[in-house]
Amino acid sequence: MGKEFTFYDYIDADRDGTNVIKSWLNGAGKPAKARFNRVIGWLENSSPAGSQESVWRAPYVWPLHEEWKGFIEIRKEVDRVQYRLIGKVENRNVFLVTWGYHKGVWKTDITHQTAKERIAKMNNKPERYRIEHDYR
Amino acid sequence: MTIDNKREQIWESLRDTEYRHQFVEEEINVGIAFQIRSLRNRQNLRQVELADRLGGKQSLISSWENPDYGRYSLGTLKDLAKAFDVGLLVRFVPFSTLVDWALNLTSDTIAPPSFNEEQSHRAVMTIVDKILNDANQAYSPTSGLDANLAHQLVESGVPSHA
Repeated sequence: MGKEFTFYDYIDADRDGTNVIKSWLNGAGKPAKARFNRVIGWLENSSPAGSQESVWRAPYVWPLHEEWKGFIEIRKEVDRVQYRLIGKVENRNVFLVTWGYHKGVWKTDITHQTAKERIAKMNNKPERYRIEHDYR
Repeated sequence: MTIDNKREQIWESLRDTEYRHQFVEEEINVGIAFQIRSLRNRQNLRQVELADRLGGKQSLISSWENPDYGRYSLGTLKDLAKAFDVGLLVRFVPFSTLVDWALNLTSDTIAPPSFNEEQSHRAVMTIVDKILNDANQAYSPTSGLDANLAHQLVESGVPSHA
């Protein structure tokens, strides 16, 4: 049986070709890496949202609001730092575009506008800007 | 990506001891929370109804469905298995087994059928097997029809002894 969803990481092909998700999960986001990878593994095989009891909602996946409306995040708190993996669900694809963390102040590496541009690139030139989520 | 590629990726990540230990912990934390939510969904139970079955509070079910909970006791897991009427496996295994489990998740492994659901399925399959067996005998080569045609007739709804 095939997967219900496929997760993709954003490749920063306009700069150095870095997988920005993999890079963060092996750097500052490492304390949350196992959580994120396991949540992704279970979500890949879970039925789509729709019912009140779906796993595509809190406390597994949170919808973002205001300028980030349309995006979702997966969260994990370690030692009072909240790590977040941010992406967008389109049909049966989940595009992971950036990360964030909250320690007193909220920090992420890009604006919501850049996040939207990344989604467009992942859709328009998939071979250049995206790769199936890397578990390493 | 093929399942073998993904297996290699996960295996490579497990070479890091700290990550390996976190992987085991998160597979339990995330997996049990997902399974409780998904089983409840499959059985059309609200949190309060599951709580009633267990003689507990709705807020406890909500906690158990949260991957951040992570303090499940064996007693709780056994009670949940009874409430859902499903089996429960708690085993120490090699990492290769754990990785295989992680790679082979399906809707039925995430939210397995209850005993009654399985029993009904088995009963239907027994009837289907009997019909096919009867059809094979009725339409043996000596009767002028081959077994493949007999299967097609059965599947299309033609009685086996028509």
